[in-house]
Amino acid sequence: MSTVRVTPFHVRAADCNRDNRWTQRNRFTLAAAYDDAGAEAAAARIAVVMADISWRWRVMLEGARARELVQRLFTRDVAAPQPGEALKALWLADGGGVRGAGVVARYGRQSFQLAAAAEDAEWIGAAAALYGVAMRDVTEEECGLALIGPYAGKLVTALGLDPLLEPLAFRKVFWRGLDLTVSRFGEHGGYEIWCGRDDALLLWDRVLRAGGDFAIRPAGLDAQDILDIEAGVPRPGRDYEGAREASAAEPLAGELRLGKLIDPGHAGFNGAVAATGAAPRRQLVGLLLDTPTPAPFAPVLSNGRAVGRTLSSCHSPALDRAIALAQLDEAFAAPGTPLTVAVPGSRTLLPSVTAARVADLPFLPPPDPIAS
Amino acid sequence: MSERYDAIVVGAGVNGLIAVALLAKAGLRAMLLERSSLLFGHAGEATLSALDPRVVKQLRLAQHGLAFAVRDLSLTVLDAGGQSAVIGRDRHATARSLAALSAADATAYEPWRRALFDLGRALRPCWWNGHTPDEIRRALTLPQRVLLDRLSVASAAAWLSSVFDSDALKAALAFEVAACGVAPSEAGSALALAWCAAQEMCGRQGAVAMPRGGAIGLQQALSEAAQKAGAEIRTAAMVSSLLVAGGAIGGVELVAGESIAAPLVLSTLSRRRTLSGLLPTAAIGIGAAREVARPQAEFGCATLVYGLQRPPDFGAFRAAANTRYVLAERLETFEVALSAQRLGWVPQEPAIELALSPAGAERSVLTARVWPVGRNADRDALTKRVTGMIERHALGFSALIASCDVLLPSGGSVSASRLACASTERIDTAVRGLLLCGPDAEPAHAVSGVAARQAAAFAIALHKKVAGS
Repeated sequence: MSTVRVTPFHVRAADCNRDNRWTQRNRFTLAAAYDDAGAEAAAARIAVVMADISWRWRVMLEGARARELVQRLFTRDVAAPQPGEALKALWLADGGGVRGAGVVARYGRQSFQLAAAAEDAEWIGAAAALYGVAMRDVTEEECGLALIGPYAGKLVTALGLDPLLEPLAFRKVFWRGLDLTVSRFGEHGGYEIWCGRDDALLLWDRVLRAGGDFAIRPAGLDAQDILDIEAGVPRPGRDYEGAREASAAEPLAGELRLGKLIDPGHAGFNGAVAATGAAPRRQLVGLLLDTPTPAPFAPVLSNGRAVGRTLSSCHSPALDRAIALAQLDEAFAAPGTPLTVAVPGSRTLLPSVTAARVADLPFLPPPDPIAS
Repeated sequence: MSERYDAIVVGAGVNGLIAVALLAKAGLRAMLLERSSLLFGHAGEATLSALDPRVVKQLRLAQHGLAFAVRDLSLTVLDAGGQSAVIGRDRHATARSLAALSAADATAYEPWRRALFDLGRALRPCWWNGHTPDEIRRALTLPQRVLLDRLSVASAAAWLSSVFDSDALKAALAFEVAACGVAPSEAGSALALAWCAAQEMCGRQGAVAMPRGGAIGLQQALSEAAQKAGAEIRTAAMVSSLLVAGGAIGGVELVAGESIAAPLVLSTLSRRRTLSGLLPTAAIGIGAAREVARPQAEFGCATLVYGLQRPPDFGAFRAAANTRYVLAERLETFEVALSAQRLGWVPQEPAIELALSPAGAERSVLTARVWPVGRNADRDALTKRVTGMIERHALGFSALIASCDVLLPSGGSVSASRLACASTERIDTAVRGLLLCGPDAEPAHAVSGVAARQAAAFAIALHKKVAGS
């Protein structure tokens, strides 16, 4: 008999999930939307939302050779930051294909935490074993809430926490009887508050109560995806399948706009030779669709010829139109290029064709924080 | 770094000596590093079935002292009921002898052998030049293609059972497969019989020869050829690690702390020992390192070399001179022994092949090849078990033993798929300039030198490419 894997916030999430709309991510059952995903995403741009991010895969890498391991494993010098700091980085297959992307936070001299949107325990565990480093999955041990929106800083202040924290930094605090970790790892300029699983409901209630003055509302996974797409962030498992074979040369970081997460000065990371030698043939771009209906994973055409495909797509409440991430051939990736998208028909076998235009990424910048 | 060489060969042995000799002959400044203080540490294989004729010719080994005491050993099949048959070059004599075991086998053997030898000859480019069987399919006749397809998927045990009746004959032929390092029951192991048939010794296809002076005689000839070609040989030089920079090999570091620079390193050690023991962690890539580190059964043929006061009396089987005996009653012997080995035991009745030094030799030596034996098997228990089995066939054998050297299998187990892969897959590594040339890089376990020749040719081409640019 299989049991539903839920986060420690599930009891509260179930109370708020009026339409009983659930989805799955990383094998967790999560609220797709508590009310209306578009409204939740819009609230993140004008007020503040709290989102359950406990589903993100997190592992501790600890041992005498942990520093050596992360230097070899990740595409950036993640051992350079001081304890309390973090870097975004990729890890690649031997053939140079992207296996995953995540945030590597330094906890101590030989202690690091990897947080990622998709699990890759097989690879990270194998690499850790080669270096004699212990990999401990802490995904179930802690849970977290992301506070996203211009009032996120004010909410943190209202909670009695110090909002002065640089992006990609974290600190541990003892707060009103709870051991918390406050971090700023997200792409949307907010904060994340992590606590032990037994303290989850207390944290949820306190944040919701303190956020009342800022019109806080919980945001489900659909709203988080809308914010990701507006920010032009591709996610493994959602937008692309990470390389699984050791010799895989695809997907290329450059074709996912993740090239900036490869540090050319950081020599010796796994897959370096193959990744730096490969020339991208496609580009990740944004597509503005002339329709309110999203077109995920649909062929993109130019004069009837396929020139790429869309990835995740959604209706953006801020832009009031459908948008999509897309991978296009280099020649068709210039902003403003008119294209068409073949959207599978819902009632007919023939696809309908929608006009689209290439847009620069991100579609929208992260919400501007209101000074605390 | 103290000195710089064009190429370094790690580990002596037949393959290491061949590689360094060929490199030096091509004009490279080459050095061989051997960890033990003696270049010829052990007696090793007394018989040769696959020594690469091109190596013999290129290194002019005959001029350096390589000679053969016996050029073509026959194979004596011992039946559980006390019957025996001798399989030799004379097909009529072989048929007459096999008739004592089974009239049907006497008829079936020659057509079977002819088809196998024809296919073996046709497949030589696979194993001698590094092609895959798929690449040379077009050059094969239709019957050869059909036979190749069958051997590529069938187990040797199944194939032999479909052709022959006699348990003893099937077991004796299956030993040829086991001696290659492949379990006769493994799918695709029948191809190992074609590999054996493809080999040439002393100008004769499928022959098994005995070099004068045993394995040491061959090693002495190779050593002399290497030194004449200008190769440097250092003994008591144990390599502690391989130096890698920017994905390319840079040299070796010795246990004594000395570093020697070279853009080419050829290792005779096993793939696992080279890639996970000597290289920095995950230098070949995390995925590849994980594959190399994955636990695998490591067993093969052990060699026991008995120094005897005088030749033993094999009773009824004494009649055949210059022969090999296989002590394995039936095909099931291999399966039972393999099951025991997998449990970590020394098999109660392993399959054994015996070869006695020829009459008139300086001293009487009996070489026993035993299958299957683990890499870390208990030498004393193995010796006791094998000696007991020989004693059953040669009464008073134990009393004749003056010395006994045990050589445990060095490389990992060979999977049947290794017989069909291109040589670059066995020789090349993910580290530029690091090549494998030992028994692990051979298509099958045997003293052949093919991997050493191919790795040396590969290294010479790389050297020329770098020198040219």
